[in-house]
Order: sequence, then structure tokens, then C-alpha cells
Amino acid sequence: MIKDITIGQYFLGNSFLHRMDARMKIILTFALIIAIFVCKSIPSLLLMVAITVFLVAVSSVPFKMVLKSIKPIAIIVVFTGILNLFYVTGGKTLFEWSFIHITTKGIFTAVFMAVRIICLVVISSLLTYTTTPTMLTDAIERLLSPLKVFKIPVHTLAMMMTLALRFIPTLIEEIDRISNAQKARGADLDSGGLIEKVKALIPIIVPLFVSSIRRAYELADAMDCRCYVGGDGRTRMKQMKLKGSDFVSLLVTAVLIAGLILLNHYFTKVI
Amino acid sequence: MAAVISVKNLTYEYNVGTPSCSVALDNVSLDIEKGDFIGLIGHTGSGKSTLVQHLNGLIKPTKGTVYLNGNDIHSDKKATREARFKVGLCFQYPEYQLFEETVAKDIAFGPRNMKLPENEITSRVVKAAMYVGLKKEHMEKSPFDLSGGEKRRAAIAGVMAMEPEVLIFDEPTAGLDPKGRDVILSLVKNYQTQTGCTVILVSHSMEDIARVADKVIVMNKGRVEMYGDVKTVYADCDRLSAIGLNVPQVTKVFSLLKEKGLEFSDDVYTVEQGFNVLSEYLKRRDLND
Ligand SMILES: Nc1ncnc2c1ncn2[C@@H]1O[C@H](COP(=O)(O)OP(=O)(O)O)[C@@H](O)[C@H]1O
Ligand SMILES: [Mg+2]
Repeated sequence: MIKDITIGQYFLGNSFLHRMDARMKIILTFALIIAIFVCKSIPSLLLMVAITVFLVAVSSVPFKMVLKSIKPIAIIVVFTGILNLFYVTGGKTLFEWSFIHITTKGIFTAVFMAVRIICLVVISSLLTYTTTPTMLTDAIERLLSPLKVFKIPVHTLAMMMTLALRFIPTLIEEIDRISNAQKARGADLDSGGLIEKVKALIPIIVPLFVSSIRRAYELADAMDCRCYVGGDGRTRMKQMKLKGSDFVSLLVTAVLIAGLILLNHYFTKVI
Repeated sequence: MAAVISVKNLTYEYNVGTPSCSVALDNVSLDIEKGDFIGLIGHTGSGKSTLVQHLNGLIKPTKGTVYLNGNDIHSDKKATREARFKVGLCFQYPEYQLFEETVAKDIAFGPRNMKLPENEITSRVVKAAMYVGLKKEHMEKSPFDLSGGEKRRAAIAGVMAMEPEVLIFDEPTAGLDPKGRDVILSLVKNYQTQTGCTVILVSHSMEDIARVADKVIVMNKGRVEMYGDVKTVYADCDRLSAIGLNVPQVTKVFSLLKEKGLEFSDDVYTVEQGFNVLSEYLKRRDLND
């Protein structure tokens, strides 16, 4: 169960997505995510789906992992789908019964929202699948660095994010270890009602907090020992440089988004 | 004698179906006899921890079966739960599992999960605390206020209080200083001689195992490489060093002395034994002179 969490997971590879400059990747991801919500006509949505499928195909990330990233949001997709189906009114009414109205617009909205959410999750997980967490936070730090003018501690925030991401696998391992140790002492984590289940978590959560706090202190000491003083005057081992191919990607994405807008403009909007 | 635990053709793979799939146990079969004190030794990553987690049903085998007193521990839920209570497992760094408000409550966690009556729980807690040498004033303290060694002993008591038939310790001396190590080893040994239960002690120190165990299982790359009496196994120096395990230094010193023509036995595994053998030898020599 806990091993299903795929956020922040990275897949080693050498696709053009892996090689793309992380800053460019973040910007293009955002651009595409905004573009998803521009799509209101059928052809534009199809183009969006085509773009998503293309990105998955060239990413060299196993298809199984892409499916895994959708799994946790399946419930949300179904739920919003049903709500839209029943409550959105407009267009031709196909079916009516007390408070339920099924209309053409409702059906379109349900399908569009489901497809949009899936595209959104797939595209944003491709970003984390093809970028190492360190590269990602590094890129975020650089993209946000103009905010330093407003005295926002960009470096500190980026460092906090790096550390948080770094410790996700450690915490998962720790939870596994502690729950095994408590199970060996006869802790029953699976049966009983809601209250019993929550109570059964105490023997896991308390040791987890204790060890996390201890780890945080140790980490702070280790950073102190290596003279960490925050972002001021810190240079970088890895320089980020935009390559020609990054600009090509930018151009292609811009053309595609322009295409989306045109398809939207010239075909009837169904939602 | 009857085997209390019997493992048949056990194979276990971690992360089946993902790129990081790895075989941790490879067709392991062995019998653990009642009342034995067994040392389980092997290199880091040889599969010791994975094996012992199978014995109380925490891990389900990919292939193969684990029998406890002749019953498959995965035959149904009840059998698995019974295995949890009959085979006590004390994990590596057990002090990280402490969570209760007081040491006494923490030790009582296991017995309480077994749904024992309150007076039985209390008497078991007192007994377990005695075995690990925790004093009365410790019992009402928070476990987080104990010293490192005391925390570890409290955690060990938590498993002992369940009074399992088989008690497994996974590297109980890891990260302790020599004195702390001696304390833990001797309390485990005392517990075994007093209760007569079966004990499996996982370690990668041949000296530690020689000090307390009667039999040794040697693991290498997920397989059982050797299984026998301490003396028989330790005599096969070449095979042990081929898999990266070194017999204790004292043993080496004594076998070198033997090569030089001195009459020493082969089974010197600890410094204390060496000291006794040497002083006896000197006494004999003085008499002869
Ligand atoms: N939770 C786990 N996930 C994946 N692989 C593991 C896990 N635990 C152990 N392994 C692997 O299984 C093998 C045996 O490990 P382990 O049983 O811990 O050995 P030991 O206790 O002898 O050091 C090692 O190769 C290790 O990498
Ligand atoms: Mg181990």
C-alpha cells in the first residue's frame, strides 16, 4: 500500500525528456497543464491526448509506472465524472428523474474532466519520473530566484524541499521496519473498527516521530559540520545551461499550444 | 529430538515484478531442534534478517513452506497469528520500537496483544525485567529517558515477556560497545539456560556466536552454506574465509601455535578460553620442569 506512492520517484533513462533542461521542463509542463484547461472542443482535446501519449512514448518510462501514477486518482476521476454527469445542465436533455438530469453537456463535461485530470496527472508525473529530485529543486530554486528581491528565502525553501523529498523513501522504509517490529509483538494492524485501527497506529507513529526528530537533529549537525550557512555566496558544482534542443522543445510546444487554441476557436465548444 | 521449526525449500524475492527484483533466499531448507541455541551467521546481505522474518510469519515465502511444530504457519490466519506469539522476534535496533509512556507498559504491549489476564501480564513483565536486569525504579520511567543500553534491554524484555517457544534475536549487539555487548550476550545465554527455550541469535561476529551458541548456521548469498556444531563448522577455516567470514583472531593464534608444535586444542574461540588454555599450559610446563 505505502509502496504505491510514486510521487518524487525517478526513473533512470536517457530519453530526450531526461536530457531536457529541468527549468525548461518545468516551464513547459506548466504551459501544457494550463493548455489542458483551454481545451473545450473535441479536436483540441484529441490533440492534447495525442501530445500526452507522445510524451509517454518518448519518455522511456515503463507504461506500468504511468498507470500506477493514475491509480491513486482513479476515485477522484470517477467521482467528478458522476457529479458532472448528474448535475451539469445545458444542451439536450436525454434523461430526467427527480433531481437527476442527464444532458449532452453533462456527458461531455464528465468525459472532458476525466480526460483532463488524467492528462494532468500523467504529464506532471512525467516531470518527476524524468527529473531527479535534486535537479528539480535546483531548477525551482533558479526559476524562483528573482523573488529574492522581495526577501523571500528561495534557497532555504528549495533546500527544505530537497530534504523533504530525500527523506520520503527513508520514512517509508522506517514505517515498514517499525510496523514489522510491532507486528512481531502481536500488534494487529488490520482488523477492528475505525477507532481500533487508529489506536493501532500509535505504536508506529510515536517511534516514527521520535526517530524523525532525532534524524533531523543529526542532519542539522552534519550540515553545520560542513559549514552550511544557506544560499549566500554558495556556488554550484553543476551548472545549468540551456541547449539548442531545449529551445526547439520550447518552439514545438508553443506551436502545439497555438494549434490547440486554434482548434478550440474554429470548432464548436462542447462544454 | 523433534524439530520445532522446519523450513522446506524456502525461496524469497524482494520487489517481485519491478526492475529492482532480487533473490534474498534461494531454496533454503533446515530444521531447528527444540532447546537448541543456534547462531545464525553470514555476511551483510546474505539473507539472515529475511530468513528470520519468515520464521514468525512476518514475510510470506515466494516459494516453500515454514512449519511450526509440524503445522504450516501460512495455512490460515489463526496459524499465522499463533506463529507470531510462539516465535518471538527481536529486531535489529529494537530500541526504536519503544513507544509507551512507561517501560512497564511497553514491556506489557506484547502480552496484552496476546489477550492474557491482567495478573499474568504483570507477573510476566516483572519476570522479563528481571531477565534483562532492569530495576524497579526503571519500570515507571519513560522509555525515552533510559540510556542506550537500558533501552535495548527494555525492548528485549518486551519480546521475552511474550514467553515464546522460540526466541530470535537479530543482531542484538549491533552498535553497542564491548561491555554492552557482553551484557546482552550473557543475559540472552542466561535466559536460554533458565527457560530452556529455543534461541536463534543472528550475528556477523564469529566470536560472539562461539561464546553462546551450540550450533551454527552459516548463510551465504541467500543459501545455507553450513549447519552444524560450533566445533565442526569453525574447523572448516578455508570454507569460512572463502565466503568472507574470519574465525576469531584467538583461534588463528592458537592454530599457528599448534603448527609450531605446541599441544593446543583447536576449539579456542574466545580470549577467555585462550587465557585458560594458556595458563593451564604454563602450569603444566612448570610442573614438568
Ligand atoms: N526491504 C527490502 N527490499 C528490497 N530488498 C531487500 C530488502 N531487505 C533486504 N533486501 C535484500 O535482500 C538481501 C538479504 O538481506 P537481509 O536479509 O537484510 O540480509 P542480512 O540480514 O544478512 O544482512 C540483500 O541483498 C538485501 O539487499
Ligand atoms: Mg540483517
